[in-house]
Amino acid sequence: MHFETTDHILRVSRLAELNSATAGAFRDEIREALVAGHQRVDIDFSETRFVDSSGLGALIAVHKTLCGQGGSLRILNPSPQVRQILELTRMHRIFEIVVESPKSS
Amino acid sequence: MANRLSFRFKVTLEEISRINEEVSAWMNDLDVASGLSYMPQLAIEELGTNVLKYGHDDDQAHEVDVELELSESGLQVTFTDDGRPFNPLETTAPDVSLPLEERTVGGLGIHLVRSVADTLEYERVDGKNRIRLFKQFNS
Repeated sequence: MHFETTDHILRVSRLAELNSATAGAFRDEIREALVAGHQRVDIDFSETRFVDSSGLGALIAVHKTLCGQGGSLRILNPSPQVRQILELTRMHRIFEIVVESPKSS
Repeated sequence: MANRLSFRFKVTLEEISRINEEVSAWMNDLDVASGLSYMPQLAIEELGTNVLKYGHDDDQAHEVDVELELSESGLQVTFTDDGRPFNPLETTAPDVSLPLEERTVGGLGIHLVRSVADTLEYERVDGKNRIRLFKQFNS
């Protein structure tokens, strides 16, 4: 997992799977990486081929942490399958989903 | 002609990940579309985790059987475990229309599995749960 901070935004990328084996570390490492100045977390799913209910639970946990400090969470570049998981659970109404053009990433 | 793949393994988070890597490689070899390949991996992950958390009273790792069968019409997954009786058809789907703060924890994984499969059948056979999922091509 890779972290990068630009303009008060923490970008998380290079995540292959977000499942029961990885969700706990994902949640904890993001919480550790967050500092007071972060206003938003962008989770880049362009390399993420699998998300399950444990992964959704971790996203919700991070979302709640961010809400507590006035921030927000966005999902970037999910595959059609991961987007379907977000839509089936209506998480797409909670997290903003953004598809970046190749030049903007 | 049908292609089959079967596993018997002790349910741990590490083994679930390992099995899903093998399933992914098998489906890549067979050139299965990614839309179809998500269902078996989600089923193994969610049903396996369910057995691990709720299937038994002890802390031992218990064996489960997974069979995949790819045919001309679609993909069938059969998941068998010897845990306490669990019929996913009798579970109540979580109300995902509620605000996040009002949603109940649990049930989301089974809801996902039921949603991505076209059919789900359950039977209790010889003291085991047998869950059979099917997803047809182009559905």
